[in-house]
Amino acid sequence: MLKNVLIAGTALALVVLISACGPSKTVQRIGTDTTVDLSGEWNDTDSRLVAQEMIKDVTNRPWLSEFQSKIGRKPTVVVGKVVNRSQDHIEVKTFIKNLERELINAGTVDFVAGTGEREQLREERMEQAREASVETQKASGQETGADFMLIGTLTSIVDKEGGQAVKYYQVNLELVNIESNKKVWIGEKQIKKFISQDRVKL
Amino acid sequence: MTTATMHRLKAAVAVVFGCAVLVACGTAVAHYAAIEKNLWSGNYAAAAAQIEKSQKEYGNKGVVLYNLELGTAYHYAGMYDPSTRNFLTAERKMQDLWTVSVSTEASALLLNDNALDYGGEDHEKVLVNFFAGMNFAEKGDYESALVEARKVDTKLKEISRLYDGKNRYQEDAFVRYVAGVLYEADNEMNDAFISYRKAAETYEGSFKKTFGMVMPGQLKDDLIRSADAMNFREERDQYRQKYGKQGRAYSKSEGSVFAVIYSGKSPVKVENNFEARLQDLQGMYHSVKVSVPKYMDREARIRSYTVMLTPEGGGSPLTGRAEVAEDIGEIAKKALEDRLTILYLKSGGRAILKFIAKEQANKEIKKQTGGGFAGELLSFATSAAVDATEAADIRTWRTLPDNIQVSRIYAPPGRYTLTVSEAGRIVASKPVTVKAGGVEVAALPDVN
Repeated sequence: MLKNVLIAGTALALVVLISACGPSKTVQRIGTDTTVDLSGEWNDTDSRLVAQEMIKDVTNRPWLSEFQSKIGRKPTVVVGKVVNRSQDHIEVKTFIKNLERELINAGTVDFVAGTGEREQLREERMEQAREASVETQKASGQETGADFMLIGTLTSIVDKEGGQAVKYYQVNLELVNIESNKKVWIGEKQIKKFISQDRVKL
Repeated sequence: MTTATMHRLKAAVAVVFGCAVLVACGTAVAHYAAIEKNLWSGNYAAAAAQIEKSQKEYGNKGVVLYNLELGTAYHYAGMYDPSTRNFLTAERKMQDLWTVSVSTEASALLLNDNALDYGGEDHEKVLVNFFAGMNFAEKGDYESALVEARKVDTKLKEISRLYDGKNRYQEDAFVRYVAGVLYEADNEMNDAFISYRKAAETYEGSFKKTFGMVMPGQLKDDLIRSADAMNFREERDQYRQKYGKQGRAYSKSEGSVFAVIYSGKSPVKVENNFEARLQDLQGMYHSVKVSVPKYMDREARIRSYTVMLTPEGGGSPLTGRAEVAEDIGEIAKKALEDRLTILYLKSGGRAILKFIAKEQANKEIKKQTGGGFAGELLSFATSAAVDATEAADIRTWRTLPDNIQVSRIYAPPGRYTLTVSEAGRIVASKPVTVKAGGVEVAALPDVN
């Protein structure tokens, strides 16, 4: 009986030792457009896809042709604040950059730099006025004022029980006429994810 | 004694020795002496360094605990970035522990719960988000602070589901209250009002009934003021009538400081040992040791604080009193009581298994040694060693305060020094800037 206890003890110790050894780390390069979901949280793929779809939607709506026929040029848009109201620490700046890229690539609107970048450019112009030759200096007061601002919120609802969770993200974007405060477009995009975690492991 | 008997005896001694080694699986607390020495003398950065130095003592089963305690020490030291990293790591690891290892569960069933990874008590799972949120708030990142507040909502629902809604810690009034302050700081007065209302409902409901807590008086003012700011006249007048006070009118020209004071030492877990009596097939009664954790207070009284806001350029200071908004010690005790039913079942099952193993070993020893003094001695040693493996899991987030107190002081915009004192003793002091219509959240530790 004691022999059996010893064998069982050794077996248990082996199991503990084996389970203590973690897998070795490997690194594999993958394409930046590849979808890899690890934690189920908002990730780069979500940011890219949502930006693509929403900008595609906003640039295919009547406000654009209405503006062009009335004013006779492409509207100028600036991306404002997108507020994170979700349960994840989302890098909103990445999402804003994705929106900006899609807006420029759409080619149907003109696009101006946001608040932070504008300050940097103004500082550069002030420095040019002091340091650069007159013929290469860029004039102040020549900025293009935006006609519309794109603003939005990112919210999430999480339903979780033990190892299972359903995460529902909703992005709301609005295009607002800066002069009149009129909202000319409201867009909405949802993403739903089911996350499952195993209850037991060896 | 024949050679075969000698071999068997050696084997029996090996089992006893094995059991004695396994006793070492109890909770290690020796390293806390140096950590708490620094913590209690207000050397929070040194306490954090000591925790890092003691990482080995926490072991691979105490990784969550290590991150929680290191995160708190950094938070007290005002080192918010490393604090946040540790809290977010602790939270992620807590979730990872949903997946249990069959081998460690088996070890825990045979030995004690110290063989399991420490995943945190229910209130600790919530407080990790509160502290991470405070780190973001201290840095002025209210958007991220509110991410942490929203996580609490999901977490409390999840915890209640685990107990089929029979647990008492289902809602946290204090975290709701702080969320309201954070919404206000983020210029979201509507959401602030909703959070204040939920906080008040919980203080007056489950927090009063279960934890014997009194709603902080300043929350009444916050309700009236936020309703006033949103032009919710009906609600504002209802609260005025209910609380019998006019309250403070909302004013965009002034700001406020919301001081959060971490007061005292949280209770710690100690072993609660007793003997279970089991009857064998012959009708004989045998005693088996059963050990479960219980909380022991380290604070004899609630500390009373005065909060002072002194203008930087001189002038009369503005003063206020702090009120208890979260009784961590009381919540911890009730949350553990809720979990105790499960612990008793587990401990009882383990007692039966240990009893069977002990009986089998004793029978074998008797058979091999033919009784006698050596056999008796070995049986006694085996029995003692098996009993010694029964140990309660007394691991707990020891760097938590006993309670959290809050005080809100309204002031015209400007730079001030915020000072907290208790019975003439200066507890903490820090510079703060009050902005018109803004809220400055300030964390001040007094866990000495």
